[in-house]
Amino acid sequence: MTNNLFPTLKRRDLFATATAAAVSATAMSMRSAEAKEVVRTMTIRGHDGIYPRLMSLALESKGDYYAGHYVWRAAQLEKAAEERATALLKEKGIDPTSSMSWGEAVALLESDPLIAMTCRARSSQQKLKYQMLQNAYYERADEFLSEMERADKMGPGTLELNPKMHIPEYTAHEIHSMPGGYVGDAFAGHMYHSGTDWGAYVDVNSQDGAHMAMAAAAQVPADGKVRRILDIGTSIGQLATSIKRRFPEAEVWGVDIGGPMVRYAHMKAADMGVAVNFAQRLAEDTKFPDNHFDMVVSNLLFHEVNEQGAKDIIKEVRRVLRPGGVFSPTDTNTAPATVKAKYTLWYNYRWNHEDWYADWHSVDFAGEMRKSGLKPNNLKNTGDRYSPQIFGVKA
Amino acid sequence: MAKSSLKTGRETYAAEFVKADYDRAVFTDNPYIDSLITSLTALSANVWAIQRRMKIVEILLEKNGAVTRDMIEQYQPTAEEAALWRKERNSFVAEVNDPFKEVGDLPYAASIDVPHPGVKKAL
Repeated sequence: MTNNLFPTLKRRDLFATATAAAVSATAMSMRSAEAKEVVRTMTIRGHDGIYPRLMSLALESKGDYYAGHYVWRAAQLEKAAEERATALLKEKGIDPTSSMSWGEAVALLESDPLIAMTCRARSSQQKLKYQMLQNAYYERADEFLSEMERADKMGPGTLELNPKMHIPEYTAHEIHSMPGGYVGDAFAGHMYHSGTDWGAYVDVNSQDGAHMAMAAAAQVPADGKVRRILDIGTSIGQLATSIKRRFPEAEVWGVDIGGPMVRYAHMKAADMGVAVNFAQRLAEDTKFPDNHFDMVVSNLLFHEVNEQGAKDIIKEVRRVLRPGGVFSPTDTNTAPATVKAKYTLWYNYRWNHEDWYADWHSVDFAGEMRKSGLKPNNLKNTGDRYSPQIFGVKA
Repeated sequence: MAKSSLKTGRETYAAEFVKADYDRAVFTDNPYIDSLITSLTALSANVWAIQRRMKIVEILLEKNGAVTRDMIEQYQPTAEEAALWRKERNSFVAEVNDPFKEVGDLPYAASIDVPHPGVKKAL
């Protein structure tokens, strides 16, 4: 599939003609500057729509199995476990939708083997897919690092890396069991991209479908003026590039704490010919001037930061938005409907290492928006906690 | 704090990270059953990879009468092939994994008296 607005460009063709090179001075350490270019020796397998295919058929095919396994677990096994949980709870005279703590939900359900299997299946799939990806990239590390070094200097769009910046401890966890998390592995971006293709974004990730939908739903300021847009916690830049496609005239920035993440984001955006500027910066300290952006967006950022981080980020969003500017965050729902859903949330928190889920589920999101000077809109039935489609407008 | 185990002379932009304990989780009564489930998942992924490779080899042989490794690696399935393979993958995944959602709940020696309520005579 080829995107009509931005026809797929091949990075290797761009090397010869690239004119925009804006890697920050801090990014080019002596180590990488002196490293000799390594040419990729594996077969170039072409593109699947907007992205290059993975390095080998074996990797692609095993990933395909893990994607099928994810779908089976999420649809089939979880359904069976939900039915089992309902039966177990009814036997005990408990309403399966009753309100209780995560701990109480776990105590009621943890000894059932079918329910526990949902956790085992998920953890096995996570472990295997990430291990396979890490092994594959490590095996040819110099080839793939060299590929990123070339892309660092390419345009369109710019890349700023800050390898000496302070990384707050809370951002350095191995969130959702990804080896090294977002900051600790050279191939964090590569692993995240395929890992989510075969996981949470299965069937809607490979062509940025989910992100294009988010970009289409992002709220625009009432005066319609959109000159600058910021994507905080941009990860591998899928929302930032999708936003750029919706607003081709706007200057779009994506910031993320993970150096390897923004590096990969830049490589992919440049490969597609989409001009987004990526920078390794903190969402709570973006370094942009006051009142700079017309829109700020985020996707799946807030459930991966601690409570203080969430509060600080909302304040920072308010600072960089211009009056009338709009903040559109997309994140996980904070209102589990059943006892089994609470159990699953606990599993994700404890063993899939969504380490900040408990923080996320206690953040008074709309309240923090109000406190910082953003007017929350579109609140659903979640009190002042986060609800899907919420957006904030700066007074 | 932990460090990446990648050995390279190149800049990686990787920082130290907080190591998680996900590898230590035991969800069944026996940690080896946990390991077996993980092993089965890995084995199944490899079986599917071989099946997919075989499909490509068959298609190429039918079309060209000969194949090379590069031809196999670069083969792009048509939309129809991709849809069919997805259906077959889902069937294969279900065949391997459905037994995990159809677990029994009756200890085998609990029904020693009679195999069926209609059977009157016990051993």
